[in-house]
Amino acid sequence: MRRGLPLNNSRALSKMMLPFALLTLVACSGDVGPSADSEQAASQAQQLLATGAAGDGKQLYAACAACHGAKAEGNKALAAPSLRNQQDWYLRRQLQAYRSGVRGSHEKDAYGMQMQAIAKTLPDDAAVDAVVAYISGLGKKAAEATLTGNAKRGADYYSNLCGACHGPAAEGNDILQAPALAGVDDWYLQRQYEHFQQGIRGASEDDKYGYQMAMMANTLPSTEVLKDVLVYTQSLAR
Amino acid sequence: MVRAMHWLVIALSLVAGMHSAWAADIPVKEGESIQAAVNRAAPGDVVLIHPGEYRESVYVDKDNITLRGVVVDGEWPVLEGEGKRNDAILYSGNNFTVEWLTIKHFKGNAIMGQAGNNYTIRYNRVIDTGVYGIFPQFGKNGLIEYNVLSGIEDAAIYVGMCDNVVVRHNEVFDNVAGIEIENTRHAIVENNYAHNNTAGLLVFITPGLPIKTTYDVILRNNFVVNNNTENFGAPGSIVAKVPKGIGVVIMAADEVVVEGNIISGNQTAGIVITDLAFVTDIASDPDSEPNPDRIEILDNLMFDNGADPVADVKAAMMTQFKRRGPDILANFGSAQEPDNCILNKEQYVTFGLKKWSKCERTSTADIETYLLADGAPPREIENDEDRTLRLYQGICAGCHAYNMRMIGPPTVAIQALYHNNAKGIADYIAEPHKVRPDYPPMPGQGHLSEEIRQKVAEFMLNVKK
Repeated sequence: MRRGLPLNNSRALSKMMLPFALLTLVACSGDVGPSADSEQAASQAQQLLATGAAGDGKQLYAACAACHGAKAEGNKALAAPSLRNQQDWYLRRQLQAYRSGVRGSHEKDAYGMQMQAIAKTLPDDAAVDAVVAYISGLGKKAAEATLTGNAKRGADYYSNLCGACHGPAAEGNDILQAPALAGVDDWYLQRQYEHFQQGIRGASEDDKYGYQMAMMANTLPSTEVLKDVLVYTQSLAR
Repeated sequence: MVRAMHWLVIALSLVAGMHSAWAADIPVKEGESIQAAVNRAAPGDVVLIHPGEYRESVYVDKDNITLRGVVVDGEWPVLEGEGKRNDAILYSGNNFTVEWLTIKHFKGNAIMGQAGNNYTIRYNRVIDTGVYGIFPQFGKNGLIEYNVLSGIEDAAIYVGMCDNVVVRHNEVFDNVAGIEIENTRHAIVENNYAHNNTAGLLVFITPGLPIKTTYDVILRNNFVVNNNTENFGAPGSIVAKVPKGIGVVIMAADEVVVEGNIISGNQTAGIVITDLAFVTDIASDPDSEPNPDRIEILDNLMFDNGADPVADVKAAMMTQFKRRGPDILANFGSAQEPDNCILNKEQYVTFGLKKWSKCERTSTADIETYLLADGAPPREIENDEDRTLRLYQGICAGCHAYNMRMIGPPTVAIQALYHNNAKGIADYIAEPHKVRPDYPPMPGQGHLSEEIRQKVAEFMLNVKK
C-alpha cells in the first residue's frame, strides 16, 4: 500500500487541473487557522450559550447559526460545514466528542478547537439532544459540490473501500456508526480525511470510530483520488 | 528370505485392503438427515442419498468421504436451500467426492471446498444457487466434470487459489461468469459448453488474496457461445464490472493457452486479454503482477463476435474505423506485447495484436492432464499456526480480499473496525448478522471452536497485503 499523498504531476490531466488546484489553495489558506470573522462568531456563540438559560433546540441553535448558517446550510467562508445531511446520531456523537475533548483537542485542529469550546458551553445532554433534534427537523439538503475530478475512478475506489462502511449510496450506516457522506460539504470531507491521515483527528484509540477512520485514511493513493471519491459521493447526494 | 518378504507384502496388503472392504454404504432416505449420516461416516464410507428433498446444509470435515446421489427413474435427490440457507455442501476433508445431486436455491455456494485436496465434483445439477455454484477453494488436485449449472450471480464454477485442476464436460449458462479460474496454477478447462452467461470463461488474478498468481492454464475444445446476458452480479462486486458479451476473459494471468474452442456470437468480443484496469483501478498488491504475459492463442473457430460491443470497446474499435467489436481484443498493460503469440492471426478481427508473435507450438495434445497421478498429499497440519493459515486461506479468503471488495468487505476495513478486538470478529463470525445493505449476509462459522475462531481473527487483523 502506498502511503501519504504523492502528487501525481506526470499526467497531463493534472496540468489541466492546475487552476483548480490554485483555487483550492486560496480557499484552504484559511486552513492555517480560523479567520477573524470565524473567531468572532465562535466567541459570540460561546457567550450566547453561556449567558442564556438552556432553551429549546431552536434557541440553542441560534448560537450555531453564526457559523453554520440560519438553516444549518453551512458557510464555506467560515469553514463551517452544512449540517443538513449529517444524521442526528452522528451530530450527537460529534457534539459529545467535542464536549468530552475526544475531538477538537489536537493543536493543529483549529476549527475543532473552536467547536470544542462552543460545545462545552452546552449545559447538558438534554441541550445536545435538543439542538440536534432542531437541526434534524430542518430536513435534508445536499451541500453544493465544489470539487472536480473523475467520478468514474472515484466510484471504483469508493465501492471497493469506503462503501464497505459508508454504504452503497454514501448514505451512512448506523449499525457501523459510519456517517453519511453524500450531501455533506466536499471541502469539509476533504479536510477531515486529511486530518485523519495526518493524525490530527482519530489518533487516539479513545476516539473509537475516529480511530477506525484514521486506519482507513491511507487507503486512497493520492489527493486526486480523494477528490475523485468526493466528486462521486457528491453525485449521490439527495 | 525372499519368500518371507513375499508373504509379508501379501499380509500387509490384506490389512490395507480390509479397510476398503469394510468401507460402508450409509443410505439416507427422504426425511432423514444427510449431515447425521456424514457424522456417522468413517473415512472411506459412501453416503448414498436417495431421491427426495433435503432441506439442510452439509459440512464434511473428514477425509475420504463420498456423497453420492441415487437417481431412480429420473428422480434425483434435491438439496433445497429455500432461499435462506447459505451453503448446500461445504467440505474441508481430503479425497472428497460429491456426485449425482441436484442443488437449488441456496444463497451462498452449492458446493464449496475449503482447503481439501484431491476432490472430485461431478454429475451435479446446480440451479439458482447464490454466489458461486461449484467453488473449490485452496485445494490441490481436483476434477470437476459433467456438472450443469445455471442462475449463479457470480461464477458458476469458480476455481479459486487451487493447483492441478481439470474442469471438463460441464455446461454453464445464465450465470454472470461461466467458468472462472482465479489465482490458480496448472489448470485445464476443456470440452465445456459455456453459453448465455455475461462472460463465458475467465482466467483472472484477483489482487489482495493469499495466493498471488495465475499461470499455466489451458482452455481447449470448449463451446463459448452467445455470452450476452446482462450482468446481474451484486453491485460493487468485482464480477459486476465485467462487461457483457465476452467469450473469454484473460485478465492479469500468465501462460494461458487458448486452443480448439468454438467462440461465437459474443457481442462485445470473442477473447479479451487485459490487465486489471479492465475492471478496477485498484491494483495495489505488490505481489500480484497485473499484466497478462505469454498468452498463446492457437487455432480456434471464431465468428460473429462483436456485433454490439459495450461502449468502451466500441470506442477502441472506432480508432481503427470499425464499429464492430473484435474476435480478439488485447488492451491495457502488456497485453499488446510480442511475448504473446497467435496462429493464423489474419483469420480474425483483432485489436491490439500488431506486435504479437507467431506461436511456436500448434497444439497442446502432448499435455493429457494436469491431475496428479498419485494425488496430492494432505495438507500438513502440525500445529495451530498451520490450522489457522489453512482456515484463513480455505474459508475467509474466499470472500475477503485485502484492499478490494470481493463478496465480503475488504480486509483493511475489517481491520479498522476491529482494531485490537479479535474477539469481536471471533464472536461475530460464530453468528453473523447483516450489517451492510449491499453485501450478502456472511455465513456463520459457528461450527469452528471459539479458540480457532479467535486465532483466525487474530490472523486476519495482521494480514498485510
